[in-house]
Amino acid sequence: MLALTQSTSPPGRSARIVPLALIAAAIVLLVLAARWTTPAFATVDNAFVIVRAASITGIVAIGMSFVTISGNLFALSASQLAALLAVIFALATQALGFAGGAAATLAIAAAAGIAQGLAITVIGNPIVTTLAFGAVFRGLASLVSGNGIVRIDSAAASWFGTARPLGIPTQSWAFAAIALCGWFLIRRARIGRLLVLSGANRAAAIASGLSVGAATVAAMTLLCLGSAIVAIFTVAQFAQAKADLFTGTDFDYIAAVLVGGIALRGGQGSPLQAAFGAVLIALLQNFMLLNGLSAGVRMTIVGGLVVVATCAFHLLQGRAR
Amino acid sequence: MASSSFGWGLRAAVAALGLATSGLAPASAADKGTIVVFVPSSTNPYIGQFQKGARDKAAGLGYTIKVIENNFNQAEQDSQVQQQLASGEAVAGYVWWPFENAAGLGSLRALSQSGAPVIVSNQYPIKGTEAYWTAYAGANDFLSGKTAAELLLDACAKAPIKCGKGAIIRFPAGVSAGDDRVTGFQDAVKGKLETIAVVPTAGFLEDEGYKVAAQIIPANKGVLTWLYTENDSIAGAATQAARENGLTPGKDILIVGGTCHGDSSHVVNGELVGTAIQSGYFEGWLAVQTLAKFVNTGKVEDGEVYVEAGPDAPPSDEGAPHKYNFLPNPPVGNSQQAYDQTKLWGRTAKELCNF
Repeated sequence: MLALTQSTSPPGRSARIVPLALIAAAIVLLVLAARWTTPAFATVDNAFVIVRAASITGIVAIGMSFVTISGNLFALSASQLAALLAVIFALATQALGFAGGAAATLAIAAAAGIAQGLAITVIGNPIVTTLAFGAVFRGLASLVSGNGIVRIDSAAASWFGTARPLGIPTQSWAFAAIALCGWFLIRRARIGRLLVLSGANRAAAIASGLSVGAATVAAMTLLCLGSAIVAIFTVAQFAQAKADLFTGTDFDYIAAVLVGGIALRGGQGSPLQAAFGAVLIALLQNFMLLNGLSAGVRMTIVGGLVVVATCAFHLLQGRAR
Repeated sequence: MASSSFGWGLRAAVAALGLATSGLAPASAADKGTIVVFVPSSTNPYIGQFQKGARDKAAGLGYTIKVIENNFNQAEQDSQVQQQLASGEAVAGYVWWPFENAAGLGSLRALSQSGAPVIVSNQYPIKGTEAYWTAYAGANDFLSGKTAAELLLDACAKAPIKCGKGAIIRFPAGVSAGDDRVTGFQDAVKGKLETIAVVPTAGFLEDEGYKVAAQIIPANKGVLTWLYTENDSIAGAATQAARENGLTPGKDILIVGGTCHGDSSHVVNGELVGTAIQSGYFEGWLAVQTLAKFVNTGKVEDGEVYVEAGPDAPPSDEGAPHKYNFLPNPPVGNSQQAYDQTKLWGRTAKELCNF
């Protein structure tokens, strides 16, 4: 009983703070190095650009962090679902207006999350299950859009996608708000406790009467809602949707979670870490872009960062146990 | 990948049951045989248009068409070629749009060894591979870059600002169409404009274009006087990034995509200096026509031909194709009137650009 209590307990304060402190330190170091070497980097405009660039990836990465924390590794369907939701949002907005389109998109996203969560619970493998769902989503996006561009003409959508209240893009406001809500959900809400305990020790959680399946469904639903928000922002910004939007972005979402130091085995971490991971990667990408590094070099460096961060956090988490 | 593999399996099953693989093929289509088209996924609207054009032309000429899509994956396309060849199906010919031109050479050679004619499309063939394909029919990306440069230089001559330093936002690394367009553009602006950066995106659409434009425009504010972006989807995103940074496109910075692909509003409202029609529909159409012309005549003329950009009649089906058959890139001015008046082979710019 004692062992069960220990293994299902959420990590201690130090285990929660160390990863955040490490990412924050990495961000500060990178900012200092970039400021010293790259004059165009240290400007207010560029700071907004970086936060804006981190926002779209970060919103989905926050959703992905729930999946990882709940012990389900990753979902490989986030980008494909976002493409499908983008097409659905555009079509629904044409028929129902912006508010109706957004509501319909969020509702379908929630349904997609529940369906994937249930399937993972039955099949037991989140990677294979979401890979298959991803193919279904991209295929449906292609069918629903007729392989064409679905355009919208909505002033409300245009404001939502391009406005800058107090000089800050709406996407960045949403990113900050969602990161805080995510943190609250994990640390203070009952559902967050369920996600953490299910991820920390699945067998112990089941033995304690917790519904691991419900945790999986909840995590997948939160991820899908994140994908929906990103889809809505993207379509609102460019006033159009296509079936091949968000191609290849799954790695970005997963990289943000890994660089953020969220435990791969589940049960540890916070959505705030994924948000910081997204900011760190956006900073690095911006620094490399401003210095004219080629796409191959940029990809290699970001991939290397993911490898190093994953190894480092894995070792740290091992020692913290 | 899974969806395409499933699609391939489904099509194979349909074929095994003796059913038509294209709902658009007329009853008499089987008389002239089947054209097999290898292309990346039609989730990309341009490729969707390519398929539509290929299907329409094949139906018109009396061929059955079978389209085999890959999910932007050369290994998958290679596997599809092996499966197609192993099926032993007699075909009228192949249309080959490789996902990665160089990486797909083995499959191209295998198709050529089958004895059926092979028309390469969209990706300009690699030098030294001429024995592996019958003819090329498709876009000339060097010409696309050159046309964009000419539009930009023309706009520079009339603009209130002096064109000097600028940047190129190009397609992802490894996409040979992106390499060719940059080469065509840079050759045309040599000695006239200074390129301070060539930055690749991670994709072809607005979202990826915006990511790059939103970073390089503020970092080079006051320095950049022009931007070339390889297509109008990315150019449209660049106009948005420019406006967000206090620049008026067309006045403070000149932006050209050079290939109408996406939202035409930025062209007709003058934010882009102009565009050119590279029609996915007619690229597929031309590839099938070229194959049919070879089947009819049994020969290929040496050299290259730029198919005439007539506004009304499409090119004749008569005669033998050339080794290189290039799709025209007619330029379009940046006003509503110019846009409305531009036609290619009986279709308007609106039909060919907004799909």
